Amino acid sequence: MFSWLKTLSKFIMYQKPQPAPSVFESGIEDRPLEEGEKAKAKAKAGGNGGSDTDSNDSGQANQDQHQLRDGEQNSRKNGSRKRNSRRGKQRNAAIQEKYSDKVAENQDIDQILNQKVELSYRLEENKQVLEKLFRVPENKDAVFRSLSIGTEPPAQAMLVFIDGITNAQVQNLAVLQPLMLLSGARDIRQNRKGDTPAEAGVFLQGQECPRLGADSGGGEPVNKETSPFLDFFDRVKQAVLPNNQVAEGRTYDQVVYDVLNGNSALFIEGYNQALLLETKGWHFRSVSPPQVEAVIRGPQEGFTEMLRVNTTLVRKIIHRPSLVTEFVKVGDAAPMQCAVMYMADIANPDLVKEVKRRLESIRADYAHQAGLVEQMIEDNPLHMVPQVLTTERPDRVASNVLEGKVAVLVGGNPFVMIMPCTFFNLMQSPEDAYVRWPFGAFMRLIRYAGLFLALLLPAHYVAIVAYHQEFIPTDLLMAITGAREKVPFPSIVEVLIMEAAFELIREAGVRIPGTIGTTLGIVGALILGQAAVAANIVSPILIIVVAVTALGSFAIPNYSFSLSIRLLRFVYILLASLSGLLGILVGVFIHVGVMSTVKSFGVPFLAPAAPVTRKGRDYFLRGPVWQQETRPDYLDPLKTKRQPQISRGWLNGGDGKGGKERL
Amino acid sequence: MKRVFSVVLLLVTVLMLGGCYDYSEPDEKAWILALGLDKGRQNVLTVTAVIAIPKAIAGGGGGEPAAGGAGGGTFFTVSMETPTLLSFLELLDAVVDRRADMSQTKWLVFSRELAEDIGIGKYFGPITRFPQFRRSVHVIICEGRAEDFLEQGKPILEDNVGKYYELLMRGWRYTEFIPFDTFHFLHLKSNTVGVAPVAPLAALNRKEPVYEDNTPKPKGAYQAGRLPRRGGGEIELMGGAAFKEGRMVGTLDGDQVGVQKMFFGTLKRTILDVPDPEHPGFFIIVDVTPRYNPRVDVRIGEDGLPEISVEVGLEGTIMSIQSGEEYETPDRLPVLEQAVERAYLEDINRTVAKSQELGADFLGLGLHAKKLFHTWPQWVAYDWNAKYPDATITVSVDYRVRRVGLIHETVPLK
Repeated sequence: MFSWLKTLSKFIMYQKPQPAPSVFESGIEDRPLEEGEKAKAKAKAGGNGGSDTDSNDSGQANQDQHQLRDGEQNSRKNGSRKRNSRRGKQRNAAIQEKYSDKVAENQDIDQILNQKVELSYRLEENKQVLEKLFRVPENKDAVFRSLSIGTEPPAQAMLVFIDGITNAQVQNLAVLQPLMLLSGARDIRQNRKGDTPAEAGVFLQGQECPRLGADSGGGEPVNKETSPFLDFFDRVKQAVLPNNQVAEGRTYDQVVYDVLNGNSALFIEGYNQALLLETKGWHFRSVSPPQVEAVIRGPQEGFTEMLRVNTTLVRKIIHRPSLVTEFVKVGDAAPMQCAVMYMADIANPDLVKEVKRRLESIRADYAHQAGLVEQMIEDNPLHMVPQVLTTERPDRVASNVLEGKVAVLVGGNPFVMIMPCTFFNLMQSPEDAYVRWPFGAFMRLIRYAGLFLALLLPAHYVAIVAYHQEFIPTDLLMAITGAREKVPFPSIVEVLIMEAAFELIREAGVRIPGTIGTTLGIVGALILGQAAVAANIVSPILIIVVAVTALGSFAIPNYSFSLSIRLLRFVYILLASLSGLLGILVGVFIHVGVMSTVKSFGVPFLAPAAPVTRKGRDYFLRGPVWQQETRPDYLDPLKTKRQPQISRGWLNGGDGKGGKERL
Repeated sequence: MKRVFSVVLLLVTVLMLGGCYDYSEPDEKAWILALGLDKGRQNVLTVTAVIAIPKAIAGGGGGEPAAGGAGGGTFFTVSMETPTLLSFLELLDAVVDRRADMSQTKWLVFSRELAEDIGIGKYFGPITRFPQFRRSVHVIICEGRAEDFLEQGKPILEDNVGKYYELLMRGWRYTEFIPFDTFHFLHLKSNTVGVAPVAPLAALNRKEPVYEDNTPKPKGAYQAGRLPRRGGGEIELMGGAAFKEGRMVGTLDGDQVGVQKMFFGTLKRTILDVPDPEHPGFFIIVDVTPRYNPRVDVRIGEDGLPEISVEVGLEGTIMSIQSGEEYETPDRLPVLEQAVERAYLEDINRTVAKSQELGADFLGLGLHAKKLFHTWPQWVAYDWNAKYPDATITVSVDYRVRRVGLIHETVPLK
């Protein structure tokens, strides 16, 4: 009966954090640490991992794969049994019955991918399987180009790619031309050793004989002493194709995935491998100024929808070999590439591990956008605040990565997620650092004032006008009262009307087609401004309140954070209308309390203010750049020092290399 | 989820139970800007309320500014006969549609008649207890009836009569004639042995002449109701009403109020007209600011009566020398300084004599005597108020000229 009291007290009372194996694994200190269970869990994880590697090593994957998948499903079922059973009920039995053959066919095809079936030696068989996979002939995107490699005798080959996402020019000049026209022109053996063409013929005979694999093919007619190549396939790869990135594919799964990414797969008769050639060439937006995070001083380029371009933009800024770009495949039905970028010598390995763990564990049909991935990996989905910093500025990513944070770039999205993220990060703009520090600090103060106004000004208006009129100077009170004389609504209704109207205008402004955008300004200005006052719907003072509130909310640099402020504003207005300033006070108390429980990748959201940790010069206000000597304490980076005590070497009249202290 | 839900539910319940009770719109209240208390005609009291008319002050809903004019129509007064002050509030709701609210009250006006005959002490009770009153209210004593005073006291420059009241009282900062005792200090001083409060004295413009001849009189010799003037607003505020045991016992003129303010550190600056010591009929005008708080030394003499010596330190600027006499040179300065000291000493002696005559220690000399007694009963037993009128008080004034204004050397007119 009083269970809610108990939960409330639990909520309010401080819990002593337990020592955790990784600080970035969120919520780990809140879990009961029972030795038995923990050991069990560890053993289970280890077992699973082991079977995984085993299955990969031994060629006969099928059985193990099945077991592994079953195991995974079981473990998932244990985690959320209720939800799973509900999902079971939702299965559409009628349709599945009706198209049972279709379902079975799809399952068969999926098996090929899931079981990582290896390619065949026979070109025709490969083609058939791939046609089945790509649903040819219904599907017109997949192209199967047969060709013969222009050697003597010609070798049969096939190029598989998806039309439209490949660069036709590259394919023509760097793949087809050398294969068909120039393949015989440069036999390296001839040039080097002066071997007879007859031997070349012998070499080419190799294609007739099926091999088991590249490593076991050493005994084939290719003479290792005289030829730098293992076999014909290797020669094509090494000497014929002038393509900058070439990989070998052995399974259908691998080939299909690469082809879908814009590469071309080259199959050669007699080899159970495919050459995966870099021919990506889809259309994308070029690098352009950031749309959302504009700055006055600072680089004017933003990320684009191309993952590779985005990683380049970051690497362009950080010229360090320790900047690591890892690729993680995210999602189930349609996997998507995510790049995880971090400084190997700075970022805490636990943090990197945790980020990758979360990304890899995502199972979803469509998690292709940063916003979706963010929702999948954030610690506390029920909280209002964003727990991941989203930016479209490479310079911001670079500076954060150099602090020891981890950036996640999502393919096809110009917004990059930086984690962990704190409240103070959300209130910062790269501009703060690019202007001299007093102005940077001033801009931050203005922004915090904006935050206060956006969140609390309408609430204070309601509270003071309705509950605390003695606060108001007499003249202002007379002005407010006089202006309200003909307004038929109570202040709270008035405020809600205006705030709702404003939200409407803002939402409409985002959705409105650009060509009729100007109409909105006229309508908004008329409704919100003159007409509402003239019609005595609202009082003119309220217009000022709403306008200032709007300006305040636009001053919040993070869009996602500003959304949460927009929403919470209404909560505060209601609290103020219920019990005045006391209500606001209670609201702030709970709000800040809840905010201090939020964690972003294990880092408390209000760090370093709550809990108090060592603070740099750059958490609330902006200090001089030469005083910012340490990286944020809460990140626990491998290197804590950012610059030596004396970062301006010229001050000592020295060699310009700063103090003796080197990082 | 359950936890969050329970917290939200609890919060909503708490707020619902406790909240909304006091919700009120400002346009549903009648804002009382001043209250006046008179001796009643049909009951104990006649209470007058000045109620603002916001739409006349702020203009209508269309944002039009007020019509202006002689402040007419921006407030109205209601006078009613009631037994007590707070019962008036109840009665007021029978006459005024909006609920009366006193949280913006600026003035609490007592008629002199009421203050002298009945005293104001017993009306302080509701003000100290009732939350709507604020202690920054100024207590004003007016000549004549408070209802006339408030009804006719219309502002000329202001639309908002509340602002008019505030700005009139703010004169305490730059003149010496308006005492600064808000209700808070008035109340404290009333409750303390060894000090007596002084309230500002106000009156309506007197129509007939006050004095019969044009002999020279110091400017501070006036007080409200006796200010010879023509034109200006209806209300005049000058001089003070001295209280003893909650009852008004006498009036102070402007100069006396200035001396009283000096003893409490509320005198910021004043301008003094000093008769020229070498040229009768001419004035030297100096600016006077206190150099330090008056140093008061109290001893209890052998006869048991207090012996008080007061040292007043002042400094200031020469503003004008009518006679053209060159007083600025270092050897001549003391002549001028002594003249100022003499003039000021006269004021202080007059004030001290007045306070001894009234038996009201409004200079707060008793506060300096208190430290001579080790325990409170001893101090109470000493009965300061009874001994004070017979105390020996010696005053010395030290005035220094710091600056000579923009002319550093006087050249006589030729």
